[in-house]
Amino acid sequence: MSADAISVTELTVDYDGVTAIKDVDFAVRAEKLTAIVGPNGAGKSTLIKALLGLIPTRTGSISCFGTLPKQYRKNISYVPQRAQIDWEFPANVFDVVAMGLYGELGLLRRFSSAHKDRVHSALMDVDMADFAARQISQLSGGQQQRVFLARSIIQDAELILLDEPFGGIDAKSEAVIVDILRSQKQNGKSIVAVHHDLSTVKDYFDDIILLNKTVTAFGPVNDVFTKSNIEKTYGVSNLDFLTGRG
Amino acid sequence: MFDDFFLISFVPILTGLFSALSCTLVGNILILRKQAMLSDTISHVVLPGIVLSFLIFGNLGPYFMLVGAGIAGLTAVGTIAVLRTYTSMDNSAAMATTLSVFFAAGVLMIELTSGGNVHLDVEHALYGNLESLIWIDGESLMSVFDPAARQSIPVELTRAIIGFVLIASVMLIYWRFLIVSTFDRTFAEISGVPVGIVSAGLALAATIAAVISFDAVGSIIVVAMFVCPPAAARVLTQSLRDQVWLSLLFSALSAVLGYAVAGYVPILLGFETSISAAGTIATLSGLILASAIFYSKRQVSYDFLDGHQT
Ligand SMILES: Nc1ncnc2c1ncn2[C@@H]1O[C@H](COP(=O)(O)OP(=O)(O)O)[C@@H](O)[C@H]1O
Ligand SMILES: [Mg+2]
Repeated sequence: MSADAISVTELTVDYDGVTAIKDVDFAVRAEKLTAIVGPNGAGKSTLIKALLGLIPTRTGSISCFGTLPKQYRKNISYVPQRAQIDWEFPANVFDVVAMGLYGELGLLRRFSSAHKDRVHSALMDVDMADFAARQISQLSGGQQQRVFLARSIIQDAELILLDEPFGGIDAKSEAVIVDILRSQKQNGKSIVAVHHDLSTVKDYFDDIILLNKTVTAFGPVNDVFTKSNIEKTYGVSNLDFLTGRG
Repeated sequence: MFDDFFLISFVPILTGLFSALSCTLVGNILILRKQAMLSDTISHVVLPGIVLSFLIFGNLGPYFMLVGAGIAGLTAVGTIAVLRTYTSMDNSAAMATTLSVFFAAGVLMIELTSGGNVHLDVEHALYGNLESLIWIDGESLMSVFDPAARQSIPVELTRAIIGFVLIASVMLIYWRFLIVSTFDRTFAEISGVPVGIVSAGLALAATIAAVISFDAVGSIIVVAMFVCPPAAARVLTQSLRDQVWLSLLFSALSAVLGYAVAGYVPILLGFETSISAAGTIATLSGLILASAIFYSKRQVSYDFLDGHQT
């Protein structure tokens, strides 16, 4: 399939008159893994929220498979940044993953044993089945992230948007999450993730969007993820940390 | 001294009980949303609502009062939202501002209108009048099944029961949406949960709970019933279901025991008059909270010691 999952033109978003992202143009290919990469404060989270139709935009247009984000929402699944969540909330792992079904269930439809099975199978997918009854405050960062991923894949959405899914997590969780995202892609899902670790971009992703307030480049990783584009995005002086990784 | 239990104590105990349970139910969600302050705000802003509905309808009947208070409550919630969106105020600053301005406006309105009757009723709204809810025809438990005797049950009790049933059933129906939008608002919104309506509904439920509790514990200490029982339960359990049940238990305990202590203990001790039921109920809920915190901390420090011994 060659249709674009997302196409964005001339997008500008302000917060109280301060511009967060400006004249952003790019397209996201369907059934690919796409990274949004850029320095802190570049507007990556802002872009995700705009794609979800959660914040007002000043100018520009966004289309998801040819429709407006708000209309397309029920086909989108969102995995927020872990830090946005109060992990002391009284819930266990099963409860949180079950929340992924609430939109589909509405208020009154019974939570049947088939739904229960879906929760358990999503937990198996992220290798967290043994933790179903564990309090979410008792999980490591990587385990929390896997629970969120389970809550997301249970929604079976066409488009999955993740904000820093690899932020501050252990190596095992990272491997599990990459596997899941790849198999989701095999199943025809389109995936966009904010990513902060430049050293793994080539391994994990097909396409990349380099962002620093405005898009410096986008396209297949092999074509676009070049030294000069990275320098344009991060500024040359910030690149020292890269050289160490070769 | 228990001879006139059904005449004097039956209705106040039940009114206090159902008011407390309503506030506590809503309070469970408010503390999870870090919005406990909202109960304080709402219980103060309903004052101008009540005065206004008196000025407009010339009536302080329970339902006019509820409409006026409800409108004031929602207006206040809207004001808080506007302040947060269009100024640099954070949530608590916006709430504090709204609370004091609305309350001050209410006080001014009372002073500008003739003092008399309104004044008294507003005082009741603020401090409660649990002790005055006498059931003239209440002789025994059998009176409950006697239609003629039922006629004289004070309307405050009927209202408290209706309010509790309403709040409990709406919360039960909306439970999934309430929980997912409290835990992760953005995710809920994407999943198709009407998060704005859920928030407004919660504010409305808090307003109803606050208004029906006026006559029971008074709007000022009603805040204790919103916050103390859920907060006490919160430190004792990690399960939301247990938290809700435990908080209802603490709430009922405060209401019933508080009334009994206020009414009977001073007399048993040989004093001439009893003490304020509302004050005793609120104090008791505070004591329960303090004990719960103490108990949970003690657990933690034992765990800590164990950890060091092994
Ligand atoms: N809710 C907000 N209100 C005002 N400014 C914001 C808000 N959210 C983000 N910003 C600002 O917008 C810019 C981009 O933020 P963000 O999208 O979070 O960046 P990133 O995710 O790339 O680190 C930053 O300068 C940030 O301070
Ligand atoms: Mg971010």
